[in-house]
Amino acid sequence: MWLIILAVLSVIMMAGSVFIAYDIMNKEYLPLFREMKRAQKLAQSEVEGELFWLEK
Amino acid sequence: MQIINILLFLILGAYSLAGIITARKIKSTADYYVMSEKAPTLFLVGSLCASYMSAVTMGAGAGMAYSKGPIMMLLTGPLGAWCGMIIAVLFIGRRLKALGCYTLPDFFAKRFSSREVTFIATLIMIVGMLLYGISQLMAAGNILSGVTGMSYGTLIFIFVITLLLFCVPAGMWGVMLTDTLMFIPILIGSLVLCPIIMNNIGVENFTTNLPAVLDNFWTRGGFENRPASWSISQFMVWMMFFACSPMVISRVFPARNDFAVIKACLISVPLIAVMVAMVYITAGAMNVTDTPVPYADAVMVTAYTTQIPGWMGAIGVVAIICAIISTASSLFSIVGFGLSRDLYNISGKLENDTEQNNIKRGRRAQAVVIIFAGVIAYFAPISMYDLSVFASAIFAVGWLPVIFLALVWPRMNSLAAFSGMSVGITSLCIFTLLTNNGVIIWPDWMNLYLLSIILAFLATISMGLFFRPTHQEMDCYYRILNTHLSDLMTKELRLHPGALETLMREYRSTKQMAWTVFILFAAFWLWLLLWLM
Repeated sequence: MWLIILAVLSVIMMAGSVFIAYDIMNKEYLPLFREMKRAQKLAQSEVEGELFWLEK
Repeated sequence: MQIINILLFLILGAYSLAGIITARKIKSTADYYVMSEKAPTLFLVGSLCASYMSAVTMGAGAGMAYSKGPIMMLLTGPLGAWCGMIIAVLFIGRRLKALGCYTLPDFFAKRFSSREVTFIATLIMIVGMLLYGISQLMAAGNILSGVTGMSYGTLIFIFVITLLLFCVPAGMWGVMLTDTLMFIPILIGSLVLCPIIMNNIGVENFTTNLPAVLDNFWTRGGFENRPASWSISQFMVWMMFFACSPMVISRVFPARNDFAVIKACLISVPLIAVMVAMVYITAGAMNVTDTPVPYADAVMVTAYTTQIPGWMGAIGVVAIICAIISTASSLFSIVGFGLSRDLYNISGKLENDTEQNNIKRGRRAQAVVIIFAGVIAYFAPISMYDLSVFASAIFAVGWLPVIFLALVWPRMNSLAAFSGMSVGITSLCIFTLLTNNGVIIWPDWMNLYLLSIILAFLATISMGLFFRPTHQEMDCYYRILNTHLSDLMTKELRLHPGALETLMREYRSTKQMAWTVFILFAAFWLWLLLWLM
């Protein structure tokens, strides 16, 4: 019985850890990617878009 | 000579050689203290896991699982440590790395405009880590003298020489590399040999056909039928112990980049939980065997040497040695860095010194620390579990309130930090003395560590409300708020062509890896449940 509870708790904690890591990555990297995509749309080509972003 | 002794000398010789060869990589201070921030995910996982698996896990913790019940232990310490490690790596370690810290006292020097605060923080680290490291050496001598046939003193001498050979010349490079190498036998010892031991004992003997005398053994309360409040307070204590443990946070500093840190955290934390679960359940299963265990801390040594064939048992004993030595090397390296860098930095001479002098001073400090610890361990063999717990508590009461508030509270100032650390350490010492002398008897829901942490938090917050931070402290607070590890990574990537692709590839692979680890972890527990129930 308690082994099942331990297993369930452990899996919940693993899910929580993955959720925290996702949250950190989404908050810190997704805005950056959006900015990069916007830069690419503004520029005529993908290379120019990246150069635009690099020089910002 | 026994097979165990041959393996012991081979393994220690190999690690010493690896340390000496790696010393050639040391060209600058950054190489010596943080591997020039080049550590890949594998090194971080190896070092985090090998540092966690220590004499406490393989000796005293397993002993408690044997004498008090494995589920009682698994529901408190490892789960609390799990939460603590997530806080230490993802919240504290990443922020400190983003600030450019090489050691933990670096953070105090940057955040507070006070040499006294840096001094007391460094002192706390040196004393705490040294006590913890000495307890590891003592455990190595005590647990292994029986199986190797060597005396306690001889074993301490051998371990000190080995530590000197791979810690002193190569600094963090040596520690990270040997930790990763030592992680291999630890992994085999826990995930391969423990299931074989359980299988040999007979799963039904320690699960369904359990003797009546062991009725409560597999319950949350354990053999002593402890109340739930005790489990909760223990969970809290271990969470706080690990949340600001220098042993965990300092593993983040050598990381190659942010994604390596996140990946290492998501792999090592569940892997540690799985390894500890296997060790503790095996230790508990030893109750139903006829084999006499000389004393509880030696239960895993007994399990390895009596329940499986000799050559397998030798690997198991090597796993215990590696667990102890890897933790000791991590601890002594941190103390050495504290002496050679942080204490020296307070004198203001560090910046004017040459790189070569800095490295030489680092090596001398490492050597002094290891020899000093060896001498203490040689002459004062005492109970290691109490010493380990006290050493872990020093950081929880001295550092946790200050570091946490320094990261999230703009009013945090040097006076608040100084009083928080002083109150925490003083109350811990007083409560320990009163508890040991029987003056205070704690209820199940409270203990001296939790109360000391609460008092330290209260002292820090009150002084923070009474006194204003300096302009420098406010500047640093806002710098912390606006500096992310992701910023540093993107800045670095911008220098290379194809930065966008590299960044997105790393981002996607980290997410995929997180789900893979989650599925594997769930599959492990399913397998264990199906096997044991």
